[in-house]
Amino acid sequence: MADFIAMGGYAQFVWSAFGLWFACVIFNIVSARRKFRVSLEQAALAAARHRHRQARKIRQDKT
Amino acid sequence: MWTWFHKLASPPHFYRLAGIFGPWLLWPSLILLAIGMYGGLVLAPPDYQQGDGFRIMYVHVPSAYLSTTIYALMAVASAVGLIWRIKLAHAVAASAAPIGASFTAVALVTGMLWGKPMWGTYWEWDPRLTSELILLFIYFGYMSLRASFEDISKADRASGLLAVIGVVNLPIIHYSVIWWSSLHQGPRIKKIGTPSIGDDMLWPLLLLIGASTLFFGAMLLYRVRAEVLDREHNSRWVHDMLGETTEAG
Repeated sequence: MADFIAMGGYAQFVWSAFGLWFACVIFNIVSARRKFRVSLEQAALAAARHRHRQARKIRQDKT
Repeated sequence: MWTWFHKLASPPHFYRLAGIFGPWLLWPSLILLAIGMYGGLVLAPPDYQQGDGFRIMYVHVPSAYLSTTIYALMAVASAVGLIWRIKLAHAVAASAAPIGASFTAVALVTGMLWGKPMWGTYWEWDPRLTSELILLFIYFGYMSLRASFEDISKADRASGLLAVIGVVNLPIIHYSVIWWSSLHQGPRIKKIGTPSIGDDMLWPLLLLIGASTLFFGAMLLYRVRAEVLDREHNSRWVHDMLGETTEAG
């Protein structure tokens, strides 16, 4: 196990490279999900505004 | 064929399909990445010249591969968007850019981490390294150009043009190790039939390249869905879809 971690003397380089790569994968997942959530919230707001306008229009047409 | 293509390019249809296939790409890609990592870190024997240092290859090569492949896809999508005025193609190009930029950065830094013990230096103004750095700057330029426009269709046209012009950098990156004498080694797995590395070193690499591509596909689908929502949030199908879910929930 200690041999595995030591990576034949290249530990600092090998583990930083793999760590960075892993961080990049996690970053991609988190940022893609966050972007989707924000876009969905904004679209939901736009849809709510649209429904609100339509409801007001229907009320105005009745009066 | 064309009707199929037009149906795929319609935002509601793509949105629905991407929602189904996104998770189906993500989980298998993560499992395959884990298997590939185990193969690369544990199962592959140390290199006879580089010892365990060569294992950086298992993160460096897939990242470098993605950096150029994603750019090629982005340029093709931009060209399709510019020529046939397909908005979804621009959405694909815009969504690919941040993923491509992140893997380009990883390819550069893992390359530096590999270069230090093997070449004795983190950085050298070598053709391969310099052209890869230029690729990163093109990604950044593309993204900041997009961000500088309020109007999304102007952003599409300007950044699409940049993506198409920037494609000249790809052959430079690819052939840099052949055209100029370079510190960077030539391709080792491309010699068909006789790859210059052993099978037990090769399979984790090929698996990681494939799994990274699947992972990119999953990330692209997530991002294109968001991009489609941004562009279509005033359209009927988005209101219908969100109206149903909010009223039901």
